[in-house]
Amino acid sequence: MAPLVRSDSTRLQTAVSRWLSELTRAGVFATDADLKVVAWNQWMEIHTQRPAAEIIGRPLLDEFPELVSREVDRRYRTALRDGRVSTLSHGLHGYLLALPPTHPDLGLAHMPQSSHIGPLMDGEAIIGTVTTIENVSERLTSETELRRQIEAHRVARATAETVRKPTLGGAVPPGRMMLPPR
Amino acid sequence: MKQLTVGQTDALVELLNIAFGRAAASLSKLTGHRVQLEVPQITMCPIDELSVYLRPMIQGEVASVHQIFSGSVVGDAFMLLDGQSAAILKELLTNEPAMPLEIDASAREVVTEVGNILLNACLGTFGNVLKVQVSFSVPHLTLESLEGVVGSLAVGQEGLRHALIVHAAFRLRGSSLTGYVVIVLSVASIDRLVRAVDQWASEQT
Amino acid sequence: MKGPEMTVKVLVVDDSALARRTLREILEGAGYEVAEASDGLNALERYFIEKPTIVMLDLVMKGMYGLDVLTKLRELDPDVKVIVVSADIQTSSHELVYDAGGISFVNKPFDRHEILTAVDAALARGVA
Repeated sequence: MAPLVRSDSTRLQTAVSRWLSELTRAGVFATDADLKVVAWNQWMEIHTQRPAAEIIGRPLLDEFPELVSREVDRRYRTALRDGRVSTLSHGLHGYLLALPPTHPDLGLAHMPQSSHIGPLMDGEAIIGTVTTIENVSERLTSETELRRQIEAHRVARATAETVRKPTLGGAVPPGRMMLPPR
Repeated sequence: MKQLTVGQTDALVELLNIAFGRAAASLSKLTGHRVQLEVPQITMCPIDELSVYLRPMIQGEVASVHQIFSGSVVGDAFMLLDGQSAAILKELLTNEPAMPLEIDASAREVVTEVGNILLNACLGTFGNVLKVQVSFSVPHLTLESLEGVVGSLAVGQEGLRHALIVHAAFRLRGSSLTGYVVIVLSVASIDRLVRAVDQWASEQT
Repeated sequence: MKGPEMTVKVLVVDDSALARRTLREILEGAGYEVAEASDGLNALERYFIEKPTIVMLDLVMKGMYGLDVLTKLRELDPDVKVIVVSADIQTSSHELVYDAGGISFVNKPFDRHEILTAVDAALARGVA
């Protein structure tokens, strides 16, 4: 078993950074103030097929021009200019980066994602941007199943209501016999 | 209790008009639907009276999108919607039926983004136009009672004393929706904001 | 920016006193005469009393919505020249304004140069 040691803050920060880079189950990347990539975690490497060594130092918007065509670059500029944090929901955007889907059963062309874009701060100063990307495929699968179950329950209830109510068409409630006219 | 003058109220409403205009344009661009705005109405009250003021207007559980801001002015900003309006909003924006918000994570996320757009627009406009530097936290959505939202404020933040309440109504695809933007500030921050509003208004004329 | 050769009157329609004051200052500073209306119904009355050359109209107002005011003005006077000045910057709103007969759209917050350029352009329309 690894020994538990008390560490200084620099080593703790390095350890946290490594955890974020290697172990977190979300994409995390950062840029400098000129939107050049300065950090690219393992999740990003796996899902973009771009190693960190290849992409670090490259302009983000050159590497992912769809960010410009979809006008997402504005979010990066407001992060740098005004310190604003942007939420990009799957429901309104679909995805941030066009990455290969991980759940083909969803029938989507790209991995469905939720993301945040925000300023990277050094004290009070904005020194770059940071982006997190979450793969929401499993959540969509669960929601689809939940919707199906809710709809099935609704149909079952509606059917039960129809059977319970007497109708003009002569449907006979259970337990009653129709007698012929005298 | 801090009161706004007629002139300050007018100037703040104009600023909020500009902010909501920008938010509506963002939402419209994202969804392809036009957002018809109504004139925002504002009032100020001490945070002790906030839930009493809002309770008649927001029934039941509240969907609250919360962002903390800091810089020259410091405080909390919320977008508040009743649960049903939040679900309707998701359906109107995404064309997909919403399940109850408690179990629909995608709906919660869409409502969070709408809140983010609205709050960023308000605080960003204050920042840009009033030349007041503001930075923001990541937005966070909760579903709880109004008293729970207000209660967490009073406990969490020392020095927060006043709430600027903005009644925001808009129409989207033929449906009317009403929500509230609540900006909670310390006495010092509200003074700074009001001075910046006065300065902006005098620069306009 | 040239001032007008004869006095041109502009009717400013906005429910914000600050907005009306700001536009008045910009327009009077350029030599235009200014009348004001604080809502849509008031605007329809003032239009026929003041007989302005141009109307500067806000969209988002209490009571009668700006687009409805524009439509009504055009029904009553098809030659009315309306410049919409609004914080509603949606593309769809611009299209609705032009479809309803507005001649130009200026975004808030006010830019003095933009306002006066829009007025000059409006005055130049229909001049032989």
